[in-house]
Amino acid sequence: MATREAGKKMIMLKSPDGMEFEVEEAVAMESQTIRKMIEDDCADTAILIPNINSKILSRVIEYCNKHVPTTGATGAAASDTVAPAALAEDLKIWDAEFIKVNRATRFDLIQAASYLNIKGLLDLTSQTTIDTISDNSLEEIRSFLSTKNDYLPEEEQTIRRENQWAFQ
Amino acid sequence: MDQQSSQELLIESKGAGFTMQLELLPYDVLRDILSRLSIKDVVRMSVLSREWRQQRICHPDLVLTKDTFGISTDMNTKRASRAAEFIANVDSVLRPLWSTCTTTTTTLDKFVVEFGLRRKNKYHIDKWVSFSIVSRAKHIAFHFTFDVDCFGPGCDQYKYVFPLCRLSGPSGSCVTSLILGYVWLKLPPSFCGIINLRKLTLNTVSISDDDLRCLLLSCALLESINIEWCDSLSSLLIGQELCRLQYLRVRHCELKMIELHAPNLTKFEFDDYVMQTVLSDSSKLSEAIFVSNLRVLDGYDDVLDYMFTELPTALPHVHTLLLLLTVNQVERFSNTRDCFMTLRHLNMNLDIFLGPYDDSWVMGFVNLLELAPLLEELELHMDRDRFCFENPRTVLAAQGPPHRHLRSVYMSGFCDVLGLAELALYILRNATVLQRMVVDPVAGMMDNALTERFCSVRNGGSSEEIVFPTDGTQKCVGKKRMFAKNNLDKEEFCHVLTIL
Repeated sequence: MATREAGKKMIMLKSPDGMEFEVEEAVAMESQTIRKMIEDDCADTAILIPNINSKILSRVIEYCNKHVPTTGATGAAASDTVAPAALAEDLKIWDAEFIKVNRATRFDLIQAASYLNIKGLLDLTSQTTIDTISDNSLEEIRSFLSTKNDYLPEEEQTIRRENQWAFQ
Repeated sequence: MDQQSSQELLIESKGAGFTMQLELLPYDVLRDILSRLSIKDVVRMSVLSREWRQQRICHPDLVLTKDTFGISTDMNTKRASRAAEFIANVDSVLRPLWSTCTTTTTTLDKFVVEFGLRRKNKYHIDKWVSFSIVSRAKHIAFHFTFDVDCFGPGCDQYKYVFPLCRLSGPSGSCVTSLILGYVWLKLPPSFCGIINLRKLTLNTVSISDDDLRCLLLSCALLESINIEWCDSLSSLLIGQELCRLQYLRVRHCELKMIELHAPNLTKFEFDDYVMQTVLSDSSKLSEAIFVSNLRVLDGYDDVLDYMFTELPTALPHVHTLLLLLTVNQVERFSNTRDCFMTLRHLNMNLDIFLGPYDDSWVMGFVNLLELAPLLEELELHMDRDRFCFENPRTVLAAQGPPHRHLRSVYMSGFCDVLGLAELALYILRNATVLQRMVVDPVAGMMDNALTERFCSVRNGGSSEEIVFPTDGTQKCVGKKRMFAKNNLDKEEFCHVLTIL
């Protein structure tokens, strides 16, 4: 990879478990939170990312690396060679592969995407949750969200009756 | 990494894995997720568990319409029973969100109720208004115009009296946008404005001239005003400055006069139900849309002459002008003398449904071009489904002076209607700096008597009201194209002319 040309500014990100990640500024700025820090000149040395462990942070960086606009990486030429539609299609496939993680990881990724304010990643991670909720029965949603049904049968019946339109 | 995740997936599938506890997510993220679900899904989730229900987790955009609840609106069900069903459903959504009868911990972005409700439903609507305020909704809409069966002053008694006073002062400080339809408004003497209101829409609302003036003046941050079908108004005259106002739309209101002092107004939409418009301070008013409501009527009203001669004076600084007229109305521009001194872009959507029987309208059009000496772009869109006559006629260029700024012309719905090819030839001959003329016999304007959607190739799709010209039935397309080729496709024009 010839991305690390001279003059490309690098940023150091630190996770709370002590790992350090050196990333290009453009990649780090996919996160609006980090972008703001950089723009406010708070990013001279290393940026500590609280609450996000190194395993999740490395995945977030992986995502940002893939999604940083190609023009930023190798000058203006990169996007000319590949049609935008093909590029978008490629990204979609990559995203689908990326999100094949267990629920705990996905949950952590949602939180990380939210804290770091990375809209694309938040959309991607939330969407699977949304699909699960709208496509499955209540029993399945309960198990997915690890919620225990603590209603008495008659209580549940009452709520269902009151909101009959939603259960048709 | 891959190996590790696949192992975790394996554990999970055995039932020993991790789970997601949505309620542990930061509130903003949870809201964001819920906002992507339908209200129906969120309501279903209230049955998940007692704990879940007690958290009063709510969809941030409560948009409650007949479609939300799948209420049938066929004529077999009575209005009263439909309303009762709607009310019961809205109450079922809101009930768990109230911790006591007057407070809620829910915060909303939108609270929208759209159904044909009336004053007799006041008890319920009052509660919903309270809810929208205590839940700090930013966008509030109470739109009862659905299946309106009664118009005119006699119907005021059926309209819900919207308690504007509830939004006055600090209690309504969250509201930035308000839409009211088929309600009755009376301003209380103590009304001191909706502090942060930016956008206001009134549709079929009964309100007096004085109360509307007070309302608009008291909301100091108003940027956008849309008033339609308000037949209780007679004029809109405000002497004081509306300094934030950027967008004004007044449609289907029979007003004697609009006179506003709005120095920052940039866009204005109106029609020929307004007799006179004075916006003399609006030096930034660069885009105007004018629709003739009377175009769909057979008869012709002399009042319009006045309207057309006044247009340039009413819009002295306009850069972009969109007009929806008939050919007969275009003819009236022959009598206009004042100029559109700053006009750069003109978009004429021309209704040729009734006529024309001769080509005299073209002189009006040529005069209009003369009145806009700096015009650079012209769009002319016509009905795409116009048929074509069998017998070709002889086309001679219309007569007129040269035009020195017109660079680009786009004509859609091109056909052999009397005068059109004459106009095109006139432009090709007389526009001295013309770079491009596109003649499209295939796509064009839809019959828009009801939808009133403007065709534009320049900003089609920029709003609901503006669309690209679309293909119609293929009726006579070959003939229309042949007609265009025979009359316009000359050697001398080949560098500027494109016939699609």
